[in-house]
Amino acid sequence: MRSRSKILFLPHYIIKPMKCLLFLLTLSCTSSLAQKYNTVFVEAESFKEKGGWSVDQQFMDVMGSSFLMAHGMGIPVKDANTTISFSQKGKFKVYVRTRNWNAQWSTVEAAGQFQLKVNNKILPKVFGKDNSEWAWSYGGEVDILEETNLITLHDLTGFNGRCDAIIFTNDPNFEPISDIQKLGDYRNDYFGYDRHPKDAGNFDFVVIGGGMAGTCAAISAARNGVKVALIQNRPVLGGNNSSEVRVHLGGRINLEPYPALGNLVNEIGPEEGGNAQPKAYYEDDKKLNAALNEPNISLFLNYHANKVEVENQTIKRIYAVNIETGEKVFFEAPLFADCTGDGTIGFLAGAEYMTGRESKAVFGEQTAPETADKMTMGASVQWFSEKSKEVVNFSEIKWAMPWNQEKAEEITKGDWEWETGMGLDMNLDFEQIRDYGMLAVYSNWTYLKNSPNTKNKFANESLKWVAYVAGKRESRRLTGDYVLIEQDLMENRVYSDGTASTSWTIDLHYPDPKNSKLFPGGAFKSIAKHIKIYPYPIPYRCLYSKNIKNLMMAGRDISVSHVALGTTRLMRTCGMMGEVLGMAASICKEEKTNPRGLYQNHFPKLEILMQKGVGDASLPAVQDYNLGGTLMELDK
Amino acid sequence: MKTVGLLIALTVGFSSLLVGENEGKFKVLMQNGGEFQVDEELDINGFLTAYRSNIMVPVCEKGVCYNVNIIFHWNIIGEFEKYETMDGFPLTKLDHVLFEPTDYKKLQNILRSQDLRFTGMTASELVKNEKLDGLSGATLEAIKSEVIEGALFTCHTLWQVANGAVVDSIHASTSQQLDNTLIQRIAALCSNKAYYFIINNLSSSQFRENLTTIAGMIKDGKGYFPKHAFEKIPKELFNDEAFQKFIINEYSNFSYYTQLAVLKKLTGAALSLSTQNMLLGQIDNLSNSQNIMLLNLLIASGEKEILLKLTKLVASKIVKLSPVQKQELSSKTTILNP
Repeated sequence: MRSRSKILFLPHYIIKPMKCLLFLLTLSCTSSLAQKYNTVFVEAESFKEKGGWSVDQQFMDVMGSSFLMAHGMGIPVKDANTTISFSQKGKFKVYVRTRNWNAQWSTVEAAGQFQLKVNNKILPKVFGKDNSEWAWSYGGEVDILEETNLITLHDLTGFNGRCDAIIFTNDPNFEPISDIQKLGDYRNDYFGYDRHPKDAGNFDFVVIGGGMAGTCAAISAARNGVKVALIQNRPVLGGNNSSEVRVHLGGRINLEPYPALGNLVNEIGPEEGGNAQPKAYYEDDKKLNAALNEPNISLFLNYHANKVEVENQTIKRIYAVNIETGEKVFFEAPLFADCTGDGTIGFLAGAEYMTGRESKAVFGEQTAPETADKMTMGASVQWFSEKSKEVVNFSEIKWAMPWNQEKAEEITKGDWEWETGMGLDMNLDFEQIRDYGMLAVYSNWTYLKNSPNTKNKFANESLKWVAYVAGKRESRRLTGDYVLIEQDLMENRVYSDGTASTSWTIDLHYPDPKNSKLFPGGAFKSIAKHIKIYPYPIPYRCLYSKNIKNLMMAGRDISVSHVALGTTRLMRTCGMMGEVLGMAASICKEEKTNPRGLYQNHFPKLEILMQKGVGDASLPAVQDYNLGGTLMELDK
Repeated sequence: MKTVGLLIALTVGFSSLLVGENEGKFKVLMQNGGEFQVDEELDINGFLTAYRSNIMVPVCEKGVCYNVNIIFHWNIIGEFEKYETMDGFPLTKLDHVLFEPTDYKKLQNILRSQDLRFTGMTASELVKNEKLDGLSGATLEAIKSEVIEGALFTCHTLWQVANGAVVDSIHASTSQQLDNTLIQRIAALCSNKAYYFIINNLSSSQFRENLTTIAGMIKDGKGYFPKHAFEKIPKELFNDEAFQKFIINEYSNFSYYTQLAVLKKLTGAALSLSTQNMLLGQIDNLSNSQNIMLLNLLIASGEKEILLKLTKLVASKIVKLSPVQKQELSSKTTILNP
């Protein structure tokens, strides 16, 4: 019987008193002026009871923090509550860090509005209306009469109102900080975490990112005797294949030249396929339990890695912050894997990387554009409705985009092609990208439900699910010792360091021409262009950084051109890359070498492990969905 | 509702009414219980050249039925080639609208295609995707461009006839008659599918008799075919000097994994000196399985001249040996030079 791995995160009910304690400690150590006044900083994501509010960390590297969001799809969500201690009583000014997320598209009305209650007394101020960017909104004054006070976030619209933090102060000179960097410093000083990050433990291998690639990398390494930390910035594993994003697995497993690769993907992947399906389809627990059942894995759910220390082109330490509690921890290990999709760790470590589309001149690729640009494939905000027995109303929203019958998408499910953000920055602009995706869904839906042309048809349809974690296809690609390009795939130029085989077509997405015409500069639908290939073993040299000595990668951020990413980005393929990374980590440990050293001196060992595989080979191959067409079909 | 009606009619129709015109060479049983007969086509010398079947499919709508009478043609390995309609039996769409010339052309492309999404769906799944009255769900939308508008189920059904169980039946029929003439004829199709058919159906003696043809197929084959071919060729044929010459000439053109397959088969074979020299020339300083296999092969089977060359390469540090290989090479060279 295997012992289970550790799941390491401190629940907020432990952290919260700690925050208060630290705060009181800070007060007692600071100047007499600080003792004279009382300023209380409350992180919304640390609320004890979150009610129907969701923690959203997707943009914290840009706007400074995770936050709470009222994602009710038009129905106001349940209140979020927490209790806060004050050291003084009397009148306190209130500030709330929030934004009017749809202001950039409509000035008619704010979509996400909410109020604040203090000890069940509602403040008159309505938040979420004032600023188009993240900023502090002044909420008036409250009387604090007790030491312990109940704070409540009360949603008014169900349309993604968002609250990052709340400040209560009786300091007449206090001005909330706007600058994101300075605000970050203030938070750190306030909670004391930067000065006291916790050591997460001793590990051989730290995997950052718990999508299919990272989860498989961690399990593969663990089963090969490596002590692993797996860090994931959401509460579930699976990434784009989790119930938060709901993209089904794609591509093939168990291919030549290493047919045992993919057994782990088969073991932990969902049995049923389909995009934008009910939650159960994605079998979050299967992936989570697979990781928890490995005694060599320490799982850090809800931790976002956002700082890296590098010496001599070697990562020494990475820091991660808990997206709910703000707790900071650090990880030291001889080897790291960037499975973040965004290449976050590589980027922070100074790894060479590529973004956008390379021009033809760069790699000589036929499908590449003449001129390089910043175009990437987009991110999907999927959704679906279900038929109810009763008529279901959906409010006519004033802030929706202008819509008409020509624009109307008379459907009940938004699949992968509901894709936005091409041409924008998938990291810096991602909140805008995600929000625009939701705006398109809501704009279409309010039309279908309320227009005389469609409302009878859709009368009983109820909007059941809209993603608020958007599914990204492309962002940064970290440069390895080799960059996989179109000609390798088309001419089947196979290298001796081949690993997992990519089998999906070169599947590149472009804005849907019809949708682009209807929404100039703001297409939210895409088309795909496919070029079939023979399954192709991805060179091992694409799976480690060229200039950061102890960094490997698996997933969409490996060393490929934009064109080649069209095939390698499929999640079964990413999972198999993860399997290879775990095996490589075990050889690096055994041989006391780094990923390049493995390639130069020990590659036959990896070949043997790839032949052996790491997943349960006795399981039947049940994932017969979304395999994709290859040139092999002409062979059989 | 119209489409559902048609689907049911087709499904029921197969089990009772779908028949071949003549007594054929063999019968093909469809998954839904229907069956049809397939005839062989022979040339003037009596050699098999193709297969054909006259198929009648009843199509009903709103209680009015008519027959689709159509002739299908397949090549000798079961690939659908073309169809012909019979006089007085034009193809029609849902509302008895006659096929346009473009529809006939599109049907031909559909029936020959192996990668259309709708062909992998059951007929009931095609209907299930209709989410709302008059509205198409995403999946149906996705296959819309693949089919002839108004003839979705006709396309689906005829594709299953052309590419379903009949393929295995034709394979069985052809493989039973496989002789050297037929092998040459199949090889002349010049496709991976044809090549795979050959390597999957030859006896050991047929491999020997057709080794030159197979060598040509290896040169021409795509993807993993060359690797799979080497894996299928009986091990004893790797002793053949002419075949080793072919390997010498082509080795560097093979993919890495094909090369590994060749080396596996050459292990234990009687290697000509030319083959040994070629293999020696393939050793490089990369750390991979191929170098290990090359060294093991040459140390085990190499002639004196080769082993001495190898010793020099080791001495000049161009080639690295494992301790076990060093020991074996040393003992071999000692025996050769007492």
